[in-house]
Amino acid sequence: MQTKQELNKAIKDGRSVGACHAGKYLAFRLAQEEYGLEILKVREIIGLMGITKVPRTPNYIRGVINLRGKVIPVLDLRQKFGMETREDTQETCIIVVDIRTKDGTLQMGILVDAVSEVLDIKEGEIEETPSFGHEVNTDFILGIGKVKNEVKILLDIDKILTSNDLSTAATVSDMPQNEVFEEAVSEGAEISAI
Amino acid sequence: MNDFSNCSGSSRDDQSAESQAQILLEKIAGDLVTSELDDLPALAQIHSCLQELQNLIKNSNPDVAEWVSRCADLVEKMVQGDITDLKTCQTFLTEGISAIQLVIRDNKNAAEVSFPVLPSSDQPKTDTSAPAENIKNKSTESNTIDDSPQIPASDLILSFNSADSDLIAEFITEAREHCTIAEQMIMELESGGGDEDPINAIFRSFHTIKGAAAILNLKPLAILAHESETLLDLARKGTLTITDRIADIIFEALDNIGQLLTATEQGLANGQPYDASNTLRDIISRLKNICANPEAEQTGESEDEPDDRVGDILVEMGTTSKSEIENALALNKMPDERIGTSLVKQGVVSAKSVAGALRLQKKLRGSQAGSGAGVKEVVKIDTNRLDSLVDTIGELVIAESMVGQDDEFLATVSPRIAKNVAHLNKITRELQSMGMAMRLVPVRPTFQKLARAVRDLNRVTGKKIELVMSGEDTEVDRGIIEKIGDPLMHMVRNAADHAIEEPKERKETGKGEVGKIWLRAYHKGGNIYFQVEDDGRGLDKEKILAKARERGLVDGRKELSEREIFELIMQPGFSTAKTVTDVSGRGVGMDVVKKNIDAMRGTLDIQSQLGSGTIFTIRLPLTLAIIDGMLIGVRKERFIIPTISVLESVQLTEDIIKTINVNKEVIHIRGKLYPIIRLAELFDLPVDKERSSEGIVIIVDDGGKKVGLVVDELLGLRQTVIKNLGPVFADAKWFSGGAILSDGNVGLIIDITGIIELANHLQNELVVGHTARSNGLDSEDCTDTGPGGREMQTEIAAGSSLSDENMQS
Repeated sequence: MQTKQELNKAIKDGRSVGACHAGKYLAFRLAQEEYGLEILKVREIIGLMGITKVPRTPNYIRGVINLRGKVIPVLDLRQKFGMETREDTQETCIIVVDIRTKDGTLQMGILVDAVSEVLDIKEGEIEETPSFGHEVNTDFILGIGKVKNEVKILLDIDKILTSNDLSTAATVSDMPQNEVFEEAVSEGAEISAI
Repeated sequence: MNDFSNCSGSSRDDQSAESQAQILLEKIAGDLVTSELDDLPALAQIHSCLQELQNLIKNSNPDVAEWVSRCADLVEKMVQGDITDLKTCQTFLTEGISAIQLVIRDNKNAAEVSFPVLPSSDQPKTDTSAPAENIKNKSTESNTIDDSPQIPASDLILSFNSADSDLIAEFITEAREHCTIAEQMIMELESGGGDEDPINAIFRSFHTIKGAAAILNLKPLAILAHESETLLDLARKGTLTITDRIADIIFEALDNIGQLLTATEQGLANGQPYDASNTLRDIISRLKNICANPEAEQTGESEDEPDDRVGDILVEMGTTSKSEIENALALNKMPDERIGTSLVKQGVVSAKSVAGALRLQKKLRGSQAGSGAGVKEVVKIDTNRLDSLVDTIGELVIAESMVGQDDEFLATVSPRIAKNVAHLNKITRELQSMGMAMRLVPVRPTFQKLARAVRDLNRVTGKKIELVMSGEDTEVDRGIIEKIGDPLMHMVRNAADHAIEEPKERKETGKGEVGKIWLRAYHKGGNIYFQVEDDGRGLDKEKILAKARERGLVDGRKELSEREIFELIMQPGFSTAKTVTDVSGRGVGMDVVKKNIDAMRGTLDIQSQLGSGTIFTIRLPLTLAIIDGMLIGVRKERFIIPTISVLESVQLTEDIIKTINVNKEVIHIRGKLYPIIRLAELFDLPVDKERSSEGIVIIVDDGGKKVGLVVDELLGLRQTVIKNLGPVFADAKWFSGGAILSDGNVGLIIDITGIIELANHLQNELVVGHTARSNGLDSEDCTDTGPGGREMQTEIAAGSSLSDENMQS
């Protein structure tokens, strides 16, 4: 929930990263890895439903769904993280999250392999994101949670869309829209409908 | 004091003063209990009795007489409306009267009886005393008016208390509304003459702004509104007639208020105080000057009390004469005392008549307040809430149709369920239409702004232009109103500024000095039309064409239809120059106008006759939220094409497909060639066969460019609610939104302009890719499936992109 500034301030105040991010997380699975999503960002979890593909958009955008009359985009997190694709299963589901952008909040669905549980991660269980060198952008990782000998990657969902470093640039459609797309998201520009 | 004999019918001679006093007292007590406290005649009656009682006992029992007089004073104040807290007064009066009864009837010693303390709320209302005082200051200054008004500079600086931010935000909205009303009324006043109602309405608007601004401590606003109000008050009383000059200054004051409101808004956001002193001093001093020397001379101090016209009413009622009132005013030593009070004190009229006059005044004021505000009751709702309500209704409609159209449901035979669902359906439809109606607002305020613009232009240019409006009550979707304002303003300005000739020129051409601009709004066939017509010069086809050729917008040899020529003025490149005098400015911003209208899925039509005028007609869909679309199927996907752009659809057969430049396909229909776009390829949908001749071609029109879209099947016409795709798809210009289909899935709405651009873009890319590749590779490789679907080879030299005008064969 914290913004960068709040975080910096907290760090200056001598509080650890863990103290800033301790709280409840929704744990979900993606391939073999476990991730955590701040529970306050999560609006609801829905089963897989009819997703309408939007042609000529990046691969990691699975498409749009009708969430009770609202059209919201669905992000395929496997694609976004460059993992290999696989068939959807019974467990595949969409986590609807509120993403904070410059112009307010945006609802978005996140396609994950399975949702496991809600975890209460304490201050001492969160470690700072290790550095992987300059090449790897870890902006969207809040920290690493270690619960019961398991490692959970705690995601900063607000930054998922705006950081494209881990995205599989190669699989993105041939249109040079990746950058523009990111820009559009950060600027919150809207399609000229309604 | 013989005036006060009207109270009790008994004659004084028969009874002793004491018993008479008792009778009076009983009567007062009875009246107090039985009468409503806002019943003015009853109060006046009580007042009279109290005064009579006071008279009777003032010699025998001066202490009690004093009490009685206090009660009488209080009743008088109640009658005059100075007291709002009637309950307290009632308690006081009841207690007071019983105290008096104890002394007079029960013969108790006055010293033993406790007389209640007068309620503290008997002070005059602050808002009536404050302006009166200020005006008084002014009238004493009136002889020595100079340009340095006695307003401390600090009062002209807007500063904010963040604690009030909600209140202030609300005030800003309200004040803007009042400004609009006032503006509208001034216009009405100017056209309709010295009717009193508009003046009152304007006055009320300023008064409200003043009051609220003062409460919120927005001093500059309060001061400005106050000065304007003073001026209007003079007009209201007939001392000042609203001339053009006065109207101008009121307009200016309104503009200033508008600026201050904007500054307040900004101030709320950034917390910076705003120094308004420079702009305000000027207008305030001018307002003051006019107030100080109105054309008609000010008659005595009657100006001092803006609200008090009791004197006039009394004169009208024939109770007294004007001279008597003026005498009373002259004798009146207490400046704050009301005219009614002094008249009664001096014995000129009876308290009852004053009360009657006051009642009449109250009635008059009540009717004034009622007349301006309109009869309909209006509730203000946050637009976000309204939008979310409309959204929710939309969801309900979808949910309802999902139930109603469900196969399982349709298979059920139970008539009861069928009946209930039909009922649900009916209610849902009603709710939907109500929801739509809530988004509708009349175009009047928008038109009013245009009228104001024309009026201002008249002043600046010296032209005489009359703006004739019709259909101001036409109701239009709020979204449209927000977007149509600027284009209309542009067109009206253009018409007033450029199309309408100078009065002299008009006379010479026999048109009459006054130019006319008609502004119309109306519904027709499920669309909304806006029309701006002028009787000015008209568009000169030849000159436009010459200009366009000069600028290279049109091929030198090409012949254009009249319509096409007029559409040239909406080209972006056309507008900037002023060289073509006859049409100069006509193109200014017309491209922007066109763009705005396009964005609303509307059309703009121009008709013009050289020398006699031009008509611009804007056609817009009824609402921006609903689209008439054709549902099409391409492979497994479904898309929606806006019906407005669909011209026709034909079966795709082998013999109408022509290939030019190796692989670029066109179709040949009735002697015309149209480039075609295969949606399945364009959208990278799995192509299961070789490029085939099966399918349907839908010919669509994008502002003159005609293109065929190849689809697999037509699934019918649908009216669908457009849903925004949101910022994530801002770059996917080939879709204008999403629509919920009857199975609950989302269907994407194709944007024709966007899709043509996409096709062109891909083709250009491929051209580059192809030429690069073909340099080193076999020609066979060229038929590889490229990233954008099947490769569409084109020679650069051919250069005929899909967006070209359809070619004549």
